[in-house]
Amino acid sequence: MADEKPPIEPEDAFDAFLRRQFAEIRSALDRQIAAEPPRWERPLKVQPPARRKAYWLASLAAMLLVAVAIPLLWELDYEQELQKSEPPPAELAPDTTPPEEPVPETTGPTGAAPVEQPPRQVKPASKSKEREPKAAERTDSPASAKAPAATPSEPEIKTRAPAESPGAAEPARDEVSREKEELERLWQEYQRDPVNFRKDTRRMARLRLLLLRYDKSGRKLE
Amino acid sequence: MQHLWAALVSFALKNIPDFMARLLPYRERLYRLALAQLRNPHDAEDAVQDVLIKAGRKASSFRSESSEYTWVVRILINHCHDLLRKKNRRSRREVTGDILQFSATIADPGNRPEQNTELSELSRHLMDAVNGLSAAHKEIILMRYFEEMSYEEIAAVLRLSLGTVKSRLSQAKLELKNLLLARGIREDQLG
Repeated sequence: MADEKPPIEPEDAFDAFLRRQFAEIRSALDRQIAAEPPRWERPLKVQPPARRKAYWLASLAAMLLVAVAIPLLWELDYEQELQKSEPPPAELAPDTTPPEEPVPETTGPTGAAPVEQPPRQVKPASKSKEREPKAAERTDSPASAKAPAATPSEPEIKTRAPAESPGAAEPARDEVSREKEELERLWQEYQRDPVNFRKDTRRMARLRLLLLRYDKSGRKLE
Repeated sequence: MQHLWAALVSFALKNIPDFMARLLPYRERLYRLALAQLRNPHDAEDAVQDVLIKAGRKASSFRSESSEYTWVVRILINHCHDLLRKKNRRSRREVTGDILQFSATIADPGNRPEQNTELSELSRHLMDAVNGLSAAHKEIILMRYFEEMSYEEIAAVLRLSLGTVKSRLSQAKLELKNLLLARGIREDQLG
C-alpha cells in the first residue's frame, strides 16, 4: 500500500505486541486483496441519493402545497357561495321590515319613559339572518327581554317608522355600517389570535368578504 | 427559495465528485481498513463506497487541520462500528444463548464461513476484541496501530490535545488488554 510510514518506537511490551499483530493483519489483508481485489462494481452513487433526495423534497413540497391549497379553495368556494346568496341592492327596499319582528322598546330603570332605541336594522334575506345570529342576539338587549309589557304594538311601529327612517336608502346604509362594524370586530379578533381565527373557516370567509367590500386601508390577511 | 435549492443542488453535484475524486486513490487502503473490521469483502466494499459518498456530502465540514485521508479514516471506522453494532443487534435477535457467544468469538456471525477473511487465530481474537471496544477507543486504536498515525495526526483528526490523545490511547489499550485476557489469551502471548 502507498504512503508507508517509518516505524514508531514501541512504548511497552503490549504496544510492541499490538504493532506486530496489526502488521500481520495488514499483510494478511494485503495478500487477500491482491488475490481477490475489490471489484468496485457498484459505481459511486453520487446521483441516485441526490435524486432520491430531490424526489423527497419534491413530494414534501407537493404535500405542503396540497395542504395549503385545499383549505384555500374551500374558502374561495364558500366566499363565492356567500356572494351569490347576497341579495341584489334592489331587494334592500325601505319597506322590508318584517312585521313579525316588532322592535322592542326598553324602558328606563323606573319604567316611566321608554329609552330611545336605535333604528331597527333591515334584514334583507333569510341567509343574512343565519349568518349573524349573534349580532341579532346582541341587538335584543336583556332589558327588553325583561320588559315585555313595554313592547309597542304593531300600529305604533308603523306610525313611528317613517319618522325614524326618513330616507329610502337608510336601511341600506344601516346595513353597510353594521357590516363595517362587523368587519372591525372580526379584524380585531383576527389580530388577537390569527391562528385560531383561521380555523373557523366561516368567520374567516366572512372577514375576507368584508375586507373585499369595505376595506380601504389595504389590510390584508397574512 | 427555488434559487436557493437550485444553488444547493448544483453546488452538491459539482463539489461531491471533486472531493471524492481526491479520495479515490485511497480507496484500496480504506477497503483494507473496512475489511479488517467487517471481514466480509462485499460489506467492506459497500462500506467504503458509502463512506466516500458520506465524506463527499460532508466535504464542507472538512477542516484542513488534518489530511483528507485521516478524516475519512475516522468516518470509516465509525461507519463500520455502526454497521457491526446493527449486525450484532440483528443476530442477537436471531441467535440465542450459547450459539451467539460461540459465533461471536470465532467469526463475524452475519457472514458465511467461506466469506470470512482468513486471519490467524490471535489476529482474529484481536480484531474481535477491537470490535468490542467503545467507539472512541476503537477509533484511536485503529488509527494508531492499524493506520500507524502519529499522535499529532490523531490529535488533529479527533480535535483533541496531544495529552488527551495519549491518555485516551492508554485507556483504550488497557480495555483492549482486558478484553483479550477475557477471551482466553494468555498474558505471555501479549508481549
